Amino acid sequence: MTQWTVLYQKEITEMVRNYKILWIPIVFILLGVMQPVSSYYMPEILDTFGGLPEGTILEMPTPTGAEVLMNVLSNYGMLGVLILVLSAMGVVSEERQSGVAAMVMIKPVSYSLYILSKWAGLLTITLVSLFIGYVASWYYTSLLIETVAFERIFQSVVIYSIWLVFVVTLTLFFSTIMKGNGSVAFVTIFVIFAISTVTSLLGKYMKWSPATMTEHTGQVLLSGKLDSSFLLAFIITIAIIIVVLIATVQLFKRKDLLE
Amino acid sequence: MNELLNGIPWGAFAPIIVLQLILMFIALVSCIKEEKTNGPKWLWVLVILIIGIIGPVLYLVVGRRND
Repeated sequence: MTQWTVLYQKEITEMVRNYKILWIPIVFILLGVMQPVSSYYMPEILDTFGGLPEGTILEMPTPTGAEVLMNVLSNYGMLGVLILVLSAMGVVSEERQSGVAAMVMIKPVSYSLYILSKWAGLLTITLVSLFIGYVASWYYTSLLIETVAFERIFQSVVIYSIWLVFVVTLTLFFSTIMKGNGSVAFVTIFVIFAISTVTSLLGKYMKWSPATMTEHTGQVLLSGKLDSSFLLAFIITIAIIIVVLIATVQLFKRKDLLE
Repeated sequence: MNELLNGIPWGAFAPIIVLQLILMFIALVSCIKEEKTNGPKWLWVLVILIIGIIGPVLYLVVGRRND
């Protein structure tokens, strides 16, 4: 276990050194905070900069707190995922190209430990960013719009984090089997986009899909209740994550360490 | 103009501005310390300084050459 701790610490040190530990949470906070602020000030923003003719009356329903937070999560689903994938794309492929992976693997370190430490490092930054950003967003929403019960926030962020864990695991997988940052990011984002699209198009047959996590999140936020299909999706998602992790380790073993 | 400035609720906006500045600062420090960036360095400095939030993020994501 100590070996794993050393590897994990190396991941964290690296994230400190390239400032990821700072800027990714900051971007998540900004993404989360912008939404309540802009929906609160929308009428005034339109008034000042909209160039609407004098006397125009716009009836704009103020969104409820839960709706604002849902928009925040959908921002995380687009921009947040993009940033996470782009910042994690080189996690293994770069180390292999630069020879760091080979240097680590010369020592008696097992392949699974190496991959697991990478995975844990990615999870740390992802979950920390999501939690901090979401809590900041919740604070602003309570301040400006209306209070949303903390249990709902907690439940929704836990469910949403499963989806992000899935995304990050996929990134790690493609970063292991492919070389070149651009292609890793492209393929990962394409696959995630494809899963989301197919899930929303064929909703009936895709109740098990990991992408339904985003829908379950919205439901918990709005009504506080979970759909009955959640358990199925949850089990399948965890199973896929585990299978992908095992596949990552196996494929990593077979690849040459230096390319 | 003064009225407009006074109307802004600084309590809500100050943290956002501070965070943006921190983000910009991180990107600038990282850009200046880096020996070689993807593309001309002076251009990245301009991008970081001028384009609000997106500039620093863009630099941090694609501007660095990690080796």
